[in-house]
Amino acid sequence: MKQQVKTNLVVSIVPTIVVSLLFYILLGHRRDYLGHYAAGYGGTLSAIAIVLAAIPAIRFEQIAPWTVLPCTVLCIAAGTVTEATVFRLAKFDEIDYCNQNLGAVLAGLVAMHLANSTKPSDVAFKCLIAVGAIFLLIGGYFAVT
Amino acid sequence: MPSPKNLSTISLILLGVSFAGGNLWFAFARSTIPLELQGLVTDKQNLIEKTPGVDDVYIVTLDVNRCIQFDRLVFDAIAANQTVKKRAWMTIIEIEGKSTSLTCSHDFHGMIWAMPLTVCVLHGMIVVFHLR
Repeated sequence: MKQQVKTNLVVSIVPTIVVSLLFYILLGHRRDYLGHYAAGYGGTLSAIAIVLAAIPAIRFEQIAPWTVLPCTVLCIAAGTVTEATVFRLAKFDEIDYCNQNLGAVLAGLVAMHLANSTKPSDVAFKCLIAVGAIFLLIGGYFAVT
Repeated sequence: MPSPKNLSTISLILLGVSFAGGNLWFAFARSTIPLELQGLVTDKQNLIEKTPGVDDVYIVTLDVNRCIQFDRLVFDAIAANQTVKKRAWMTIIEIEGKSTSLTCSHDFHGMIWAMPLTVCVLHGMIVVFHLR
């Protein structure tokens, strides 16, 4: 079980750290871009992990692969609403929107990997939710500072 | 019939490529280089976002009721009540008959590297996950 938790952590952290570094190095003058990306990743990863954790273990392999894409699209829709309402300070910023959705897509791909095997343990899901929450907080920090 | 995993993965990759392309387009469009412009500037606004001076939004309104977000460089070159004329995909804008050169912003120069590399990471994830 420890190995499974470790693998899930590596899968959920390494790719997004690589993309975050790309944002930081190549677009460092706009930290808000990194912020939107990280928040989109974190929010979506936590949301999908919560949904996947609720699927019974016995039906996980049949249901989980069908669940990830709709969840990702729902998170993108939720991001659209928040960007157009509470986070619409000057205007609806198309680049912020694309960045947060890139994060959501990456989270969806990570979740696809998890959804294609036997159900991970509750501890593994709790770790994923925590990783998502941490990235959401990091994203919030970079988006507003 | 494709498996749900393959369908979802392909859909997610297509979404990712679309958003990366969107980033490139919107950053490029704000330089006005791909746009055709003609008209009288009726208003220009510098709107403050979350971090003043960093993520400000520069909006120019033309008399044809067209509001466009510009890069700061173009925004600073234009004043209200001036006429602007520009052909699409040209790097010269005429402001009151005077030609001014246009360049892409730092945002676009960063995006042109960051977005293709991000798409490579997305594809790399698929390859690595598939091999596992």
